[in-house]
Amino acid sequence: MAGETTREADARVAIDVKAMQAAGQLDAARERYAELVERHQRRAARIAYHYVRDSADADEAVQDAFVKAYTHLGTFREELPFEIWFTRILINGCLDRIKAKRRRERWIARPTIDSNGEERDPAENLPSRSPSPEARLLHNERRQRLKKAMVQLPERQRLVFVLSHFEGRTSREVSAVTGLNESTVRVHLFRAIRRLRSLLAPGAELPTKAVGSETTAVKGRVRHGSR
Amino acid sequence: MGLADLVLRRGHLSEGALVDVWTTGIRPAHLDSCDPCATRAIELSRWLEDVQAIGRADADAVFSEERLSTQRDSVMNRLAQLDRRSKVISFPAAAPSTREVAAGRRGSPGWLLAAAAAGLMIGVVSMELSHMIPFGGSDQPAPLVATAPAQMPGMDDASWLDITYDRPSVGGLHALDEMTPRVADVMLASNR
Repeated sequence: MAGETTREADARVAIDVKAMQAAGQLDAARERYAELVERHQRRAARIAYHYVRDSADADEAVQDAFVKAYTHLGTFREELPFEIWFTRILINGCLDRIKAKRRRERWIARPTIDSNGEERDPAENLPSRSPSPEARLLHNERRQRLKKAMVQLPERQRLVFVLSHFEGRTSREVSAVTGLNESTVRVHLFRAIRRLRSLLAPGAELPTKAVGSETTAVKGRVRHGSR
Repeated sequence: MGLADLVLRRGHLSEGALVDVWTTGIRPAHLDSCDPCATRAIELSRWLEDVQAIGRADADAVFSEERLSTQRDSVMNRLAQLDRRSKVISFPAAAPSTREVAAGRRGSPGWLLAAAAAGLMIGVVSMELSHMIPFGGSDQPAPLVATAPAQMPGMDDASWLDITYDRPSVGGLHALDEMTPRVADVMLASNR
């Protein structure tokens, strides 16, 4: 539809899917819902990956979030953008996975540590888009540094940073997703940037710290409708 | 510009204010007149752009188009399974809701308690009735101690015992029981 924003398009699809579900036209509902999945999938994968810091967990979290959103579409209200509503579901799922991982790691050695004690990056096995081996090496090194630095951030700071910075969300949107108020979002973002700048400064030593061993406790799930 | 910027930073913008410039896109007038702050703002925005690019490239390298396609297929398959399952469960009668099921589970201990209490009551009443109603349908209770051995003249103990074993009766067995020494009595006697 000409001139339609993503939000309007999402809302239209969501309304259609709800109506089809109610009418029992489940095949058609799924087919229509696939549009939403395709539109938000990459963004969801980025958020989940940066938040849980594990590609397999992120993959499952994204899948779970889409399935949950489909089954709970009846509770979706059009006054809230689908993207915000869906991101809340995704973040709550990621949070549950982080907690579960933390519990698991109390008993089981983490499998992502290689023989040198370094955290293994699944992306290392994938072909790089960099043009030369030197550029690839440099790129990998910077990526590793950023990854390690991100792990050092407390979870709320990391979440706010990912949503604000990687996904380009405004403070108001991040506030709607996380349930934090806007000024708190800005404070978290500023602290995250300041911490990352000091960690990524030339010559700065990055301490090794796993996601599951963070000292900052996760305060709780994102409450729907809280601002 | 805030008071803190004026007093503590001698009129220069704080890093937080520079971050706000990046996130909101609103450029304060101070940046046009202050070269050090403008330089810091440019340096910060370059750093942020760099981190953003690395972060996005990192995630996109892990989640390639092929992987996203596989993920999409998995999601659609799971949804199809869910839809199929819900069809089967709800046919022919509507499936009970989760709340109803939960309420049923909560109610079951009450039913169990009621059933147990009823069973206990029935047991007690049956026991009382069994004492009140005699066996054999006679109105008169059966004599607990029947004919004593003294009522059978001309019989010694051995022949009386033979009769008792051949034709057992309640009275005879009681008499036999009285003749049998008790373990407690034997123990007491041996202790003395």
